Amino acid sequence: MNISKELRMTVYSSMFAALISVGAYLAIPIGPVPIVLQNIFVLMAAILLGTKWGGAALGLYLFMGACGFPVFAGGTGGIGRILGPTGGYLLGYIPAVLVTGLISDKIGKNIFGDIIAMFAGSLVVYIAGVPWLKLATGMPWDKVFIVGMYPFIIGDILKIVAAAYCIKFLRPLLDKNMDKS
Amino acid sequence: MGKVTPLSYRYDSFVLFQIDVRCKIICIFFLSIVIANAHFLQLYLITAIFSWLLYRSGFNIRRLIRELKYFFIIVIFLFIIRTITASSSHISIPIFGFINEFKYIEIDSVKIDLIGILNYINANILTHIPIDKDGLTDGCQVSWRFFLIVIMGILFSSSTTASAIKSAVMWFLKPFPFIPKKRVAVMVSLFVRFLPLLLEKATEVSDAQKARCFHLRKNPVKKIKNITVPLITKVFNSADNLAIAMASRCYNENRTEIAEHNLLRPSGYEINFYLGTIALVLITLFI
Repeated sequence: MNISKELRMTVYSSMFAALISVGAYLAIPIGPVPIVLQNIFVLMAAILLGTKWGGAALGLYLFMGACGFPVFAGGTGGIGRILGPTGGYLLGYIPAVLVTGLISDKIGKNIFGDIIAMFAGSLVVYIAGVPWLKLATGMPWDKVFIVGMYPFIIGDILKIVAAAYCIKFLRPLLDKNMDKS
Repeated sequence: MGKVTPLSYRYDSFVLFQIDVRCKIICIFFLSIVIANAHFLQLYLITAIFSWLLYRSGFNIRRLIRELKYFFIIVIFLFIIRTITASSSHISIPIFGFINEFKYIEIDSVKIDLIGILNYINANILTHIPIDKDGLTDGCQVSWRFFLIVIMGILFSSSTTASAIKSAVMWFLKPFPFIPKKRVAVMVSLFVRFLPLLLEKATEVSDAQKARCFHLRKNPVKKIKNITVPLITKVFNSADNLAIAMASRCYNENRTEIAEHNLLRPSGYEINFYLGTIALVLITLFI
């Protein structure tokens, strides 16, 4: 059946918004701190769907969270969460999707391009999240980095490598579906 | 039959299920700000209101607790972490005072010096962990707020249909001409439809991987890949089937909508919810 690309991408970006929400509940036990799959899905949305539809998926996710759906990390929701200490990380996902999508388009659709794009995206999340955490809590910089950045770096590296590996499998599937359009 | 999660909508005649969804969204918007800044008085009040709403909405509290057992573990974890990080001094708490009468316990005819072990824990671990009254208060407040936000989300999503949310989204987006309202509204209803489906698929994938002992693997990248690839493949296929179903029913953005007044119909009880929310905002601001 001939399905318009717009319709398919609308469904896919809604699906990715739901995946990002479910990612908050999917914890993989690796070492003492379990890895949560939420930001992996944000970066994968940017690469697989592109800047426009990846951004739409993220916008929908933030909108539903702001409306009170329990979709943010740990099953919370509400505008208070976006305005709270960890709100910078949530809002930082928006430029992260833009940066990841743009770099992925420029470098090309290969595993190294994906890894570089996702590293840049993760960096943008920290650039937005860490200063926000400092402003919201009033903690000194060294403590902010200890609480809001250092414990997650190893997990992020693992997630980026795993995401690049997953994208390698998923891109042909998506391309095959898009060819049907 | 699909498993009904606490997030799934179900019908009830209670007022929470009948009030206008726009009222619910506005109240949630303000309540989430109130909860984020609430102290014990506000927390007691909101807990009493939410308990009443849960009871009257016909929730089976035992089942809800069972469904949310992992969430309670997160709440306890959050409480411990916040208590420790917010404390600056040590206080001695007679945690082990009540077991003085048992000097030894016997397991498989091996006598274990319980008091000795507890004294060791007390001297070598607990005395190094800062716990004070401020820390306990902060830990209690933060975990309580977190708990209430989740209960609020459950009350909202279990009492509101996807089509009502879609209509409310279109109504709220009316003042913004540059946003494609109908597409956003469709995405919202798809999102609400996908959420329980994804939780179900994630459980399926996780169980299938456990059955194959994948959880015993040491390689973290493979662990992530083993969950993510099958989950997204399954969900992509479901999404594709949905897109085909929509296209075969001639879906387009200019179709006839269900009349807004059918879905966004004030029940007359909205004023009570608005007044309650305003009262809580004022209590938070001035007390």
